[in-house]
Amino acid sequence: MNDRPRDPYAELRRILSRSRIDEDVAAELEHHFDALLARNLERGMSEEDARRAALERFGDMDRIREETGRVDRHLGRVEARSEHVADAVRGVRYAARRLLRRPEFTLFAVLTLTLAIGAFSALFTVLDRVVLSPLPYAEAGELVRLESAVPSMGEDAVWGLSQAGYFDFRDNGEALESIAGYSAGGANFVSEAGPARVRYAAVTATLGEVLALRTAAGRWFDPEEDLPGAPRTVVLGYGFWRNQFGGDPRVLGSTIDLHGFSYEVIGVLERDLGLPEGPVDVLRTLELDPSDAPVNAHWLSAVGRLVPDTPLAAAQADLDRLTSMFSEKFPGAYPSSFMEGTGFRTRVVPLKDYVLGDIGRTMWILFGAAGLLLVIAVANITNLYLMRIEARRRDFAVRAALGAGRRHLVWQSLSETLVLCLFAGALALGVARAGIALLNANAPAALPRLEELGLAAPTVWFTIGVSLALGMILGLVPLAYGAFDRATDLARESGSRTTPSRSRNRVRRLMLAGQMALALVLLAAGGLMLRSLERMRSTEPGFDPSDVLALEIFLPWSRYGSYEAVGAFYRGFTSEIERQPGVVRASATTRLPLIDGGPCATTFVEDRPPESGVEPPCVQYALAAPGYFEALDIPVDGTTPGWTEMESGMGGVVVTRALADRLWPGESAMGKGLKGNGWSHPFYRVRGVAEDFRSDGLDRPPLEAVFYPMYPMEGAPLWSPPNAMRVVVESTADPAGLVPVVRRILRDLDPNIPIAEVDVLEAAIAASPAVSRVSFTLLLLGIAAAMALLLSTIGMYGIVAQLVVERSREIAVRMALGAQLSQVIRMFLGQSLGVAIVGAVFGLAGALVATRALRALLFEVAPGDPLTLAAATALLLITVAAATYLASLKAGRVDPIETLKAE
Amino acid sequence: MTRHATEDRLDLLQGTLDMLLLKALTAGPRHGYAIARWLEDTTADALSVEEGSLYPALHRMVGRGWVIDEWGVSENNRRAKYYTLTPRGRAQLRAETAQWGRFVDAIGLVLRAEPA
Repeated sequence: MNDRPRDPYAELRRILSRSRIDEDVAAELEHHFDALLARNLERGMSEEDARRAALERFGDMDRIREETGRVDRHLGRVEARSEHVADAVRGVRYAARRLLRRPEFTLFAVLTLTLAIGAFSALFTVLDRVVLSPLPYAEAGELVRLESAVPSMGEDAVWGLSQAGYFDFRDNGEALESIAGYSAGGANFVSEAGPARVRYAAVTATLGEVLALRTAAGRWFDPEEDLPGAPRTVVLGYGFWRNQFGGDPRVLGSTIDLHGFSYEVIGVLERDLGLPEGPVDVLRTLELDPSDAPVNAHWLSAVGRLVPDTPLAAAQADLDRLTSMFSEKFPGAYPSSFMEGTGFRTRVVPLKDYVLGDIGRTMWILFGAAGLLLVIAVANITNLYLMRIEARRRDFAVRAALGAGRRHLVWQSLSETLVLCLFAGALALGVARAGIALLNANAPAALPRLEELGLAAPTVWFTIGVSLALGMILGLVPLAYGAFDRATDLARESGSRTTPSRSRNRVRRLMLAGQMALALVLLAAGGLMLRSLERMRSTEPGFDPSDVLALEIFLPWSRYGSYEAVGAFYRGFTSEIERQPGVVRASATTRLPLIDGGPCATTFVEDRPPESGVEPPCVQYALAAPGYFEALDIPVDGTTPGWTEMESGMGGVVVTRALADRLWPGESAMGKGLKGNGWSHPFYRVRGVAEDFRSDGLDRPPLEAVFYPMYPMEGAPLWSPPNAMRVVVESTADPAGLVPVVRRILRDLDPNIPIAEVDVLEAAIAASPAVSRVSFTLLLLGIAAAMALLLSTIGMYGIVAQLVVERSREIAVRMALGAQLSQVIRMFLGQSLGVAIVGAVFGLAGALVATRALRALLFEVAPGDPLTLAAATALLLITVAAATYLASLKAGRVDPIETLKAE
Repeated sequence: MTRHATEDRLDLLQGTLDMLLLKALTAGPRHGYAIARWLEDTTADALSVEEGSLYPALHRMVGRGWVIDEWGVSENNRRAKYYTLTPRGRAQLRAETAQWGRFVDAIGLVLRAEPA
């Protein structure tokens, strides 16, 4: 194949070819005949003999012509067929060559499309895996979480199930095919490599049935292994099995050391399977005893599988029915005063919704933002593309006049944009990959199934589909735009060449205004998130996390079963740390603000007997070692108990200001009595009131909580020794540098205790779900907004730069008549700002609507925040003005004389 | 042309026509008539190619890319289609010549052999 662009007449020739072939063959044969005739004459034959001899020699002339013609026609068909393939190959090659001839446009278009498609694909992947199918279980649609709602404790106060409730639902639930309970947490795992903290859960054997769990090796628990007093057995998580035991199947039947007891390994879960909340390393059975006396303690997480085709409402009605009978069935644990006072009920939540939380909404918002970005990118490229076509209009018209079919021109345009978009799409896969990695690195811990996220087939197909669609849209736009109209239009137009057709100009401006509008929507959204984060940052948490190291310690119950043993350990540990240089203070608590949630306990206040008919409030509590408030720089009014005081069981507690104001409004809390286990003397005494600090999130009200001592008071039991505590170390300088020292001290005290989650408190807080949710959304929206602004600016620059070229004659005339460059620039500024303002008006209207979707993510900022909208608009207008100014400087290069001469 | 002359002619073996046409073009571009003449002259009229086979064969060879055709002006100032050998055609000729040689050798061996 030769390398010239295809002959525009080829099409026509093929159509005419039938008669042409015949003509051709006839001419050739005619020549042959004439030559024969001439030779015969040369030999001295008479004219008549010569002719006859020649004819005789030839035989059937028509047959020869027919046969030869058939060969040619056949060849023509073959050629036409192979031509289609060759055409496509050639088309791609020419398209690539044409694109390379305009490197700036191509580079810009490829970059823009790559980023926009990549971002879109990355979010599609997350949406597909995280939001649309977040659960790795079979028939996940039938799975529900069962939880207890206690409206009196707060709008979203949710507990698990009690043991009694679990058994009741298991035996009597008609909508439930199966139900399982579990309690997840951490455990100390000791191996030859040393102690480690592992993700651990105690589960009912029915969990295997409910979640349809399969094992990669060994087996799941038998029902008998879930009976009280059954031999200790465990099932390992797949990842833990691979990392800890190298995936060795011989681990089955061996025993492992978990929180001081040994367990026999009976199975390994299949890959990707775990608890709804996430992966788990070790599972053992709960061994719940149905004969236990019912207790009002809701510590059991519960999942159920609905009977197939049961509507959620029916399941809810079923559980409502069962829950309403609790007072009759379990009068001790669920007195009617409790049921009525708390508004207690059991709620059925689709497991998917529980796992996703509000992250699904965030992901849809981000997907929407990426979609807007894609639209802006396409509009932008279309505009630039149209400008190029405008410049080549004359060329198109001439070619159309020469007979190049509209089809051919459309194909040429399509091949260019398809090559462009598919190339960008291929690069976008790389961007999508990087984007997914970015999402992974920054996602709030709440994002499920992100760990397994990679570039899978759906993403690749999606990207190819988007690229193809974009290529088609871009390639066909010039057609709608009338770019391929015939030369007659051109002739009409050449009379008024100073400005290109007004209507086309208007289309371009409208598209630009649309881009501005979309950019403003994204800018406003990004701005709102920025303001939220700024408000959140400026919200004083009420404590000082800087220079504080936080680590989690868990003491095994087997060796630390008493308050004395636990207390002695933490006293020894913290005081040894405090002896190190650079350490200001070391302490411990069961609940770190902004990181840990905490339990609440029905709390009784001295002088307020519960008979008054009002259910006592459920007050959050924590245990704290001496020096805790000092380590976090939380001011305390009054005193905080020291070790000696605690060890002697003197029962002094610290309450937060918010709790003091709620329990004893208008009174001093100092010396007041309260306790968490029944209304009877003695009561714990309030010794100090800690100033307010935030714990449930920077966007939540200050914590209302009681801080109990490490040791209980005689006659007023606490819940259990604080085996699991967060140790906090306030240092003078670099807290991370203390890690090796702390590890050594711990090893010296007890070599079998691991340190889990060691981190600088500031960093830990930044990574906590309450904070990271906002910063994550902000990061992505910010990127989208910045890209939108950049694209719109480049779009505006390109348009103005092109206008300067198109209107160079007008500029030349104006300047010849004495206009200054500044006047010309002002003219362009006025025009582009006009476009930008139109865009801004639509954008503001759009932003007012669109940002409402953000409401749930915003903190102390209203969706239509005027300041944010004004700032976003100003930013847009200023950027547009700057771009216009820079582009219109080109007008200064117009030489009036040369330009006018050229016309 | 007399009948007598025609009877002396040999019929072309199937498949050898292409080879002869390619050979005829090795000296340079020729039109159809010139090719036919060259064959007759070279073989002292012993071999002759019928026009009814010549042109379909030439056109097929164009399709196979062995030769290209171009309109030109002949010696007597007439419009004529000229055929030129392409590199592919040259390669084809080499291959066919070699094969023909082997064929002739084999036939010779058979014919010279003593009947067993």
